[in-house]
Amino acid sequence: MTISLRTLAVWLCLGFMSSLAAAQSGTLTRAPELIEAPAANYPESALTEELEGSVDVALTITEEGEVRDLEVLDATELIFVEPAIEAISQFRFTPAEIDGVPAAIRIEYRYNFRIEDVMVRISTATLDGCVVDAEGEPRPGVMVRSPDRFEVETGPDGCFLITDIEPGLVEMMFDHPDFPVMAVMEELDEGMTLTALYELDEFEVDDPFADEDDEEDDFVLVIRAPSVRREALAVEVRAEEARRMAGTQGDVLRVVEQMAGVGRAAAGSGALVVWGASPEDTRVYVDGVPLPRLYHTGGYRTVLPGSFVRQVSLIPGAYAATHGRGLGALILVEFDDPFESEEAWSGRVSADFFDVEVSAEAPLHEDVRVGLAARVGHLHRLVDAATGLDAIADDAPVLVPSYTDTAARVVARPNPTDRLELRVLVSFDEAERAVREPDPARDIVERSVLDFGRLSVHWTSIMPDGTALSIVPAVGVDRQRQVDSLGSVRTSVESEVLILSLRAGLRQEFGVHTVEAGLDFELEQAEIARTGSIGAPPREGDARVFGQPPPDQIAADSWQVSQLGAAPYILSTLRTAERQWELDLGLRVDPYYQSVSRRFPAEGATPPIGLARQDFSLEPRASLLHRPIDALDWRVSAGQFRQFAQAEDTSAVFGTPGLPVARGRHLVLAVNTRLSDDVSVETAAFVRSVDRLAVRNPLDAPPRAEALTSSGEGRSRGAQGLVRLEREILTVTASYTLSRSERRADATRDWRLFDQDQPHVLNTSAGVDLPRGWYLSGRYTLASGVPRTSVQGRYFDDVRDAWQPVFGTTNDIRLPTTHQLDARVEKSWDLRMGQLSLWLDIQNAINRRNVEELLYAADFTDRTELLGLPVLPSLGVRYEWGR
Amino acid sequence: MMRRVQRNHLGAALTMLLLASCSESLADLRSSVDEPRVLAVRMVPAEARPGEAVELRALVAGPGSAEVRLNWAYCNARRPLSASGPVAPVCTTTHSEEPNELIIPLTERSVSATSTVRWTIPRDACRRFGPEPPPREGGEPPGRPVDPDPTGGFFVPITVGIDGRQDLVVSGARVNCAPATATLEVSADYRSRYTVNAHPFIRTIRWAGNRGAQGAFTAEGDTIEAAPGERVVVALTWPACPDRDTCGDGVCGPSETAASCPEDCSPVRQSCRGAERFIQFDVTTRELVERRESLRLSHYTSGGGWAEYGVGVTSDSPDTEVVNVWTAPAEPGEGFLWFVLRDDRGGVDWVRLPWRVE
Repeated sequence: MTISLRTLAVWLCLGFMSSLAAAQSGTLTRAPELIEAPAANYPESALTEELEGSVDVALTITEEGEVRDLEVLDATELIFVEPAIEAISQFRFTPAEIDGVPAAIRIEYRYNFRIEDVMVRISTATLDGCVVDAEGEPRPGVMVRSPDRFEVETGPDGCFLITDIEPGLVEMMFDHPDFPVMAVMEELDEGMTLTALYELDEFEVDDPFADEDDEEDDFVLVIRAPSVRREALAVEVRAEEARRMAGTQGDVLRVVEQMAGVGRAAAGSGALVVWGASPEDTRVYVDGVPLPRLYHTGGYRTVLPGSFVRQVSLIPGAYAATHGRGLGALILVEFDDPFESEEAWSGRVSADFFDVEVSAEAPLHEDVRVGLAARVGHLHRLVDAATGLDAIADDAPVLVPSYTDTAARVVARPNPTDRLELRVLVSFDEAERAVREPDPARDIVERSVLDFGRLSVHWTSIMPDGTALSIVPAVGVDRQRQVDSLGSVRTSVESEVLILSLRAGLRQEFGVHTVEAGLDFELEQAEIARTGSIGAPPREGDARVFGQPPPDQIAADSWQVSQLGAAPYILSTLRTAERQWELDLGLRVDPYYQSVSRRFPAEGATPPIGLARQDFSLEPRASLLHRPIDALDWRVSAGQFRQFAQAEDTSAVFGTPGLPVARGRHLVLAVNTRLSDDVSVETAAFVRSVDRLAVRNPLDAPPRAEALTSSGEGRSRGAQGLVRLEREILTVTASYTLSRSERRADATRDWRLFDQDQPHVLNTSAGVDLPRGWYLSGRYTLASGVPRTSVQGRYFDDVRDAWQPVFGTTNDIRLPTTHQLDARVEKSWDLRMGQLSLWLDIQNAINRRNVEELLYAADFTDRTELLGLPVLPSLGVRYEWGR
Repeated sequence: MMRRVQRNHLGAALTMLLLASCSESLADLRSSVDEPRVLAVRMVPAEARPGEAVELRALVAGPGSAEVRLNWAYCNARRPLSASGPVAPVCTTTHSEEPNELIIPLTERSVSATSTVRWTIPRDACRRFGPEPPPREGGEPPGRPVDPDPTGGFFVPITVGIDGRQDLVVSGARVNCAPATATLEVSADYRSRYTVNAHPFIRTIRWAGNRGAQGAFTAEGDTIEAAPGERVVVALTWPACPDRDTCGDGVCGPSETAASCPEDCSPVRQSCRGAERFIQFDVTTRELVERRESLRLSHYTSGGGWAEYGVGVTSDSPDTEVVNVWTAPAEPGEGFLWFVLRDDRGGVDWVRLPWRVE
């Protein structure tokens, strides 16, 4: 506990040192100074009677400055004795020095009780705060000051206490050698005790244009109140950490695969299964802008260059009312603030087995910076060189995408509290392959185009009263073309989607009450054309074996879908002054409109008849946090969620145009414990149920335009634990998730395992910073194999000249458990202009051949296991400057 | 909101293909005939209208000459949308299992190596298995028609099993149904220009081995005589079909009608026994398109082995010959080769060729 110099002076005047009785021989070379003097409670009866007085005591100040052997010598009124002793016992002094050595000393002290002093205290305010970094770690040694009013340094726990502050608007400045000076405006009322948590990392800023001499003057920035976390569980990883993690191959966003609760994706699928939710149920946002997907074809690379990414967060369930339209998890990607860079120019160039990435940021003006990052894949060229084939069009052994990802931004800082950014994200992905066989029934042709673009504006502002405003309008286009031919059976899906979105939010602190309100708007207009079998691609729950030709009954449809969602939301956070309890209540109002251009399949010359559907629902969300002690907190979160039907499912031929909105309910209980300064344990239990899922119509002859029904139901439940050890050079994380995820076609059926159910997922990772620029990291993953449907028999299909399987009960067997160890070693050199890093990332370092699929003989008389990739080393180099 | 592209089936499937090439390979035993099997079913005619009488014939192959008994049935169940196979799962239950009202036996028993059975295609075949709305049941709304195969065809499920054996053969009788969702003009045009399928015809089989085996198939009774382990190149041909319509060439082409070319198209439309050209209602453009059949040849043997189980030509290929390699058994003996030629509209032809290794 610290006290301002002004307050210390007041207290020193109140007391007197009646004598300095040396407890031992020698010369007093330094007198003790009172540095902490909590005020005594003025007895209420004495206040009422306007009674004043004093208490004289003798006390010993130890070599550590603590008070011992307190003895009351005299008191004007007995009523003052007890509060005086209680207060004086908590005094702290600087130790006295005798002959230059700290030594115990006995003194006499008078504690005065004066009405005037009490009135001063009541008419002032108190600020009880802590300063932490983005991970919640305390920041000791930060000077918290207000010009001409107070100055105090945060203690080892990062906290400070300032009393006797004059009410009104107070500008608090945070000063530390590692940061630019930052400031926050607080409004304090008389008698108010404001408890606050300040995250300094949140707004680390730097001005590359400032002269070194007046650096501090240019870096004053009003910081907002600490961000409010409303979810029971959220995993956040910073980009610098993710980039160096083994297994990510330097791709920042791939860190989500290693997060607690995320199942192992099948090789090449890039399917994120979080807590047993379908991959389609998880939404991805980049600073409020929705992305259509996270991975490129094949799942080896994500769709964003990582240079501008600051942090990746995964909220596995029960998220706040700010987000919706998803039944699963939430992946939030945050870009960095370019003004954090201390250099005028900054950039990064990296190259590895997969691609080359180049990024640069530069000033256009004192308060305007531009940035450009581009990543170009070259794996297909390496495959060309290795096989002598054209991987994009020829008889390549595997489909290798050609991809380019670009992010461009212009960021303006009109004033220290505002940011205005124009951002462009563009991703191209193209792959093509044709394999000709002697048997034309086995000819394979595959083409895929997966492009998207986003143009967005990001405006964030923090007002003097701490109100935070964020507005993100965006426009985008998604283009998909996927053609898959096996023999004469051709399946194709083409779509072009125009997207308009707007996310706007306003957050205001009212003491212990925080209110946030906003709007989440999305409009999508899709033109879709699909040809092929209704059975291809297979849906969740379809019994199939790897390599089985799709059904050869061909249909076609082309249609337009418009979907509009404009969801206002409001959140209210109420906390106790000590932050022991926090209650978050949120409500999301989600009106929904959908129109489909074709209600029934095309027939003759009949003009198409469209279908419009609107819906309205309230999605309540709630979260309660209790922090009984500093090292322990638990939180329970619950909410209702909804998800619109997938556009592809609204076809009158392949789906059902009038599919309703699917519903979900999440309940999460999380307990977080900090066992020591560097070890924390997070545990969580979750229950998720969903209904109105689109499933195949079970009827042999379903009505027209009803190939799907909304009778599907799902549920998943489980628990997970996460242990994190963070020391100066060592970081170890281990998580284990136990879960069970099930589905059923309707309420009359028995539950069966979800296609992606993985009851056990163990993820451990470790990274250690070694001297001379070495960094080692490793990751070990153990995951249950996913369910498969057994083959119980066979029959010969004479028309297609192929054997066909006879299946057992859906998902009645399971692939074997998978193990994988990834390792990475990185060496960095600090050069005059920047830093050069060379790294080797070894995927599957123990060459464990995991079973990825079951492979059946063509006549189903035999079965073998399809093994995963062997050890796969990847060498990379990176040079960065100004970061 | 709307989800797109999240199902990365393509990438996953292709990665799996790569992995498959790295995994333990499985023996392909499809060509091997080491027990009595039904290799193919042939309906005469190759394509028929509802209510038309047809003859079904099965090619039964076996290492010896023992006769077997066949069980024929017509499966009246529609394929549900969730089924990954070509027919309803109930159709694949063997005849030895519990009787099912959806599986209707066609005859008591037939005893023959190439068992033949006569049958009349159900009159509601185009409604139950074709493009016409299925029969309403109760007050239900009109049901979903069946989607056509890549050639625009529809099949009535036929099953045949060998008595006492587990494996069932599911075949199909191609039924001639006009496109139900086309405009009247397109539908009329289709009826006037569509030529029902004709079975392909194996015209020649020639062989030449690396140790002197050589010959040509002309009639049943010809035999391949090879040395033990000899590699014999076998070439099979079928008739060439005209690649453009010429009135008077003996083939009623897609652009010819009874009115424009009575020589080829009246009283019946003359067919070709190779890769025929035909018109098809394209479900995407909703117009008639012209295309050519693809043909593929399956190879079987009771001894030795074939390099490929199936070879063929695509619909855009003018080739009329396919080549495969048969490796004679290492030990002297006798047996048969079977060749089954299929067009992609369900037409079938087959030949059995004896071999002797000494």
